[in-house]
Amino acid sequence: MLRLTLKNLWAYKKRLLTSGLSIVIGISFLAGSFVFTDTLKGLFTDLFKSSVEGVDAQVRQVRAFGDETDGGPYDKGRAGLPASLVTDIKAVPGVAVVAPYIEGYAQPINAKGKLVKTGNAPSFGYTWVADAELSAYRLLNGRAPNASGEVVFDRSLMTETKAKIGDTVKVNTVAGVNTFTLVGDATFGSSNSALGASAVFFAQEDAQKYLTRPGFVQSFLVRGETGVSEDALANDINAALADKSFENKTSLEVVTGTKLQQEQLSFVNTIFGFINTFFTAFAVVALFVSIFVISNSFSILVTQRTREMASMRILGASRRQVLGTTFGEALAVGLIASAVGVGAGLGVAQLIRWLLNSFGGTLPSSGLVLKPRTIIVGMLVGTLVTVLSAILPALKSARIKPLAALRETAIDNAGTSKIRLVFGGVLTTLAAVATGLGLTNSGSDGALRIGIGAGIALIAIALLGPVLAKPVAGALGRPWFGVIVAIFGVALAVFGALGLTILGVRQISDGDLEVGPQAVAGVVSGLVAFVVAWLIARRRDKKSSVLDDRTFGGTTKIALASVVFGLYSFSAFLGGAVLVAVCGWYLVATGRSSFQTSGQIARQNAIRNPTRTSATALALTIGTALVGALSVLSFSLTDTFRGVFDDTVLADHVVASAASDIGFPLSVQEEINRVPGVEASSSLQLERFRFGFPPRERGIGGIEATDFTKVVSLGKVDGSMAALAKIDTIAVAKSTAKDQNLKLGDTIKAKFANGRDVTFTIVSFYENAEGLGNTYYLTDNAATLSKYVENTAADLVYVKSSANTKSEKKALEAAADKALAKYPAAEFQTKKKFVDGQVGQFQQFLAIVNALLFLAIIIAILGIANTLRLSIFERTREIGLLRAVGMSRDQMRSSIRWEAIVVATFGAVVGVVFGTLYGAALVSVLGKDGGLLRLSVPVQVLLPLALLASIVGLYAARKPASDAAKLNILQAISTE
Amino acid sequence: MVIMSPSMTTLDSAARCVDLSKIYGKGESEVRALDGVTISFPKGKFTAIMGPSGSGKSTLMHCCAGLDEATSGQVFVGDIEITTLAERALTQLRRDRLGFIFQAYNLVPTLNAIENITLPMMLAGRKGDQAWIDEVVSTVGLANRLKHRPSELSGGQQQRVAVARALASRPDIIFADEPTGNLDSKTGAEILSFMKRAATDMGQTIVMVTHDPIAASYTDTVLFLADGKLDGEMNEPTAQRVLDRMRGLGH
Repeated sequence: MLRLTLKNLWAYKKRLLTSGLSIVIGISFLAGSFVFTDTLKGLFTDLFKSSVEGVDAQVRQVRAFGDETDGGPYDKGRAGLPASLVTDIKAVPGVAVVAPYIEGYAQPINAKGKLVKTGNAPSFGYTWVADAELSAYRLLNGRAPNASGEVVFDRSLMTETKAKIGDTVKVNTVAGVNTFTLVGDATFGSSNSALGASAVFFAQEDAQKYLTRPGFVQSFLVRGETGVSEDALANDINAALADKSFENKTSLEVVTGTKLQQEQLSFVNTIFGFINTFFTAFAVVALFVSIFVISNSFSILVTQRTREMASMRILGASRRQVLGTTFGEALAVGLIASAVGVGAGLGVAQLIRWLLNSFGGTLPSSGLVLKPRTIIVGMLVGTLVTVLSAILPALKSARIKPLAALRETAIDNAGTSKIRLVFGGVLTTLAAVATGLGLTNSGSDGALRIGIGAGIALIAIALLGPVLAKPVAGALGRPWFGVIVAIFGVALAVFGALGLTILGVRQISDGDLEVGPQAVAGVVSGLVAFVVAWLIARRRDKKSSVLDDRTFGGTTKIALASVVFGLYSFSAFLGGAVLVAVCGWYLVATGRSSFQTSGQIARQNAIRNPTRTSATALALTIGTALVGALSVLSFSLTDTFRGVFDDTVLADHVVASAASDIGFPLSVQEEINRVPGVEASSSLQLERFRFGFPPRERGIGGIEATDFTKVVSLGKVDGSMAALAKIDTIAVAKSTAKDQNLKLGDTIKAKFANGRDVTFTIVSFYENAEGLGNTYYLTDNAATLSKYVENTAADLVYVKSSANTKSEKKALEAAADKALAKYPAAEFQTKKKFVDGQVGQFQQFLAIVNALLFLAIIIAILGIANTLRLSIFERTREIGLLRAVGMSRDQMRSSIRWEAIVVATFGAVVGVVFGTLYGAALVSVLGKDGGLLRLSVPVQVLLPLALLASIVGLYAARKPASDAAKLNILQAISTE
Repeated sequence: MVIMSPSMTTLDSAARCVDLSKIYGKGESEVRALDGVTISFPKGKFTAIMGPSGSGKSTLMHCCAGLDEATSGQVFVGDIEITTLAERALTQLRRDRLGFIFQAYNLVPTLNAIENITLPMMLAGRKGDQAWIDEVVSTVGLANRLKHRPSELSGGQQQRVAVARALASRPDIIFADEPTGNLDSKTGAEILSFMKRAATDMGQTIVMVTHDPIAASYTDTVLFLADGKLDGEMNEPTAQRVLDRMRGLGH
């Protein structure tokens, strides 16, 4: 039997190969995500470990709330300890070296006055730690910063700024821009930077001044003498400091080096846990879809081999042996595909790194880490998925009664099994219950329940798909949809080809009426593309020409030729444009066939076996469902943000921060006030404090109370916002006041993130909190906040001006830019530009989600092509008959294309509808928690998404369609 | 045994072939399936092509119907020489001017009976002559089965649908390849009667490949093939005469 299995594998190698490909893709993503995260995690683990490896104890102030690593990259919100403690610690027996440690934000300025960016990684400022065991940074050239006014750059900054030792350099910190002398450069271990994060080193005094506050440091790093245990060292320091009295003493903490390392490692684990989850989600989706592609392939193979198996049974093979053959095949396919997938995973990891880097990331290149776990999980999952998805068809094959099988071939089981219906019904009910529960909850709890509901519903859809397939695909196969597809095709053809012409014409009109060569090339190539595409699409087959049938191959060649022809910047466009335009014309031709008999036959074929149709379409269903749901969510967020900002912000301009994760000095607001044309302005500084019932962390905004209501509409205000000018006063949003049961004049006790206690008196209530990014508490910067929080920085300045005309606005912007020249982190923007920038983040998120769609599309194309090919194989005689009685090759091709389009669109339509509903559910639930979300259903995204499936179908059908058209009629008719 | 000269029969032949040869393989393994065959199928007649297996009778029919390419020689359907036609034109010819009845699996399973009958016309984008289609349908006795799918029809009914399809577009000539080969003798007789009536009453030209003397007895003329060559013909055949003739051939 083993030999038979091997022979079968060989005989069906091509078909099994395509089925196996979906497993390869799924596993390669699984393995790729493992490899990628393992590699990165290894790098970061090394980074964090080497930073604190030589530390035996750390003396620090405990954060008021949250985890020790909660301060973000610049360890914000830690008040710190008096620098003078260094002598006390040093005096403790067993202590060899003590290094005061300061970490904050510092970013050099280039010659043009712009911030020097090193990707998306943070820009650190540190105090220089001389002891080689307490720091991973090593001095390379020059000397350490010993006196105020001296700095050392890491090598990455030396390259970026092109500065030389001895130069005068400018560095931006939360305290503004200051000038320093560059006295040396340093490396992180042997690297130019710590995984892309840049570092500027200051002398002790400057670090306090610019990064924390004079006289204070964040912590002390301690190295013990040899032979002193970490625990003993920590205990001794603790005991020694217990007698002293100093600021923040109550929150002092001494931890061992081991504990510090554990903290850092768990921080790395948390971050990479998230990244891993994200990529694993990709892999799971891919594998889930693969199950259906594989089981589809096997069930079709088994159906086709019914006869062969029957003769084997008659010849004496047992049921078990027949079962074993199919099983063996699945096992072999699974093993091979998984192995290939794990190998391809290395490539995927490299690809992910490359993609992230091309989106502005700075991931270091290093050897990829392939752990045994990756290989084991990849092989196990891939093989199991394959074997499991082959079980049903294999059982079916074993159940075939030998004689019955010999009589009939190519069984069309169009029925829908009762078990499917029952299970599907039960799951639908479960999904409805979970979703309903989710809808009655709010925030993340509700979202989680809805997520679970969506997951169950997806499986229910997979089970009930066949029930949907007949009516939905049947309806889609009708001429009305052909009209839509044809219109879509015309749109594509025009967009693809004529778009180029328009681009060319615009180039002419923009270029001062000068007809440049590019513009001419644009117009010419646009027209050429249009004509070429049309010619390709309408070409007819000639006598028994085989070459002739390679429609898409020819297209690609012509597109490539066009690229060569296309000249200048239009070349790349042209190739793409021709392809898009050809797709368009094919869609027109195929859509037209829906009116004809070939279209009718295609429609019948699409619903002939609903189980197969729905399983084939599932990849697209899942892909479009995900994208649909997330599009609804992201567009709702965008619209809400835009709408709320427009409604509540009276300012016409804002000053926003150009540095990541850090604001700019509050003095920016004063500068802006002096700009001619500015009527009013206020900064908004976001801090965190702990308060309320139950006590938890909340956001508090620091503002300039006198002008604030002129730049932001707070709605109806009870009490007086101007009263905030008095120290320790606070304004509270009305909704919060109601929740917390607060009245005007009440006092509330709270604690800032740095541990300072404060008692606020409530002086006013305001109505609108949405325009402030849901800030429910406001206090005055100068009067209150600056008294409690060090190095206060503004996150945003709202500016209202009198500029109305275009020239006035231009003058205002020029004046503002001039006034802010010394604040490189502060960017003066129009309100619209700011909103666009904020909203752009949601769009970026969508771009990542679209990568998911792309993956689903690849698998869908494979699945549809595979199923089509096998179905066509099954229908060989029918195709021969159709051709004999007069169906032309064109008609045959467009019939199969239409079938594919109908199947693909069925998947996409179900997915889009499902995704939209769940997206709306998420919006409703998330809106309950943080201010109402406006539901926005982006038809302009969802409709093309559904229509995109027609292109997927078209592409998937290209080979099967051409194969079917080329079938030799005589051989086809006489096929047994 | 008279072989009619091509020039004489041009006027009243629905299809003819001249010096038609079909060779499979090359060199030592060369097989001459057809070896210089010249035949004319007269209009309005029911002709049978008979011969033992391997005599080339199916190949002859396939070449005449444009389903297979001849190695040399010419085939005419009406005035059109089909041996020079391109694929596209051949398809059109089959659709508009030829009808086919195969031994089995004649019907598209996803289409119902009437859709199968009108399939060639629908493929051409034409409605067809409704009165004629009605007449054909009632002649073959399918009026109450038109909405049934092939799987809901008996073998005999399926073959009647196939005959109706072949007749419906009023082709120049119908090619039938063992149309009763899969049927029991009673149903087979029914089908053959229909075909005979189509020729005599409706003037339909039919060429049928068969090895069954009884089937051949329904025809006007029987052409005998042997080893790829024409080996005589018999007018107004009876089953007994055909049987005798075939025995006489020594097979």
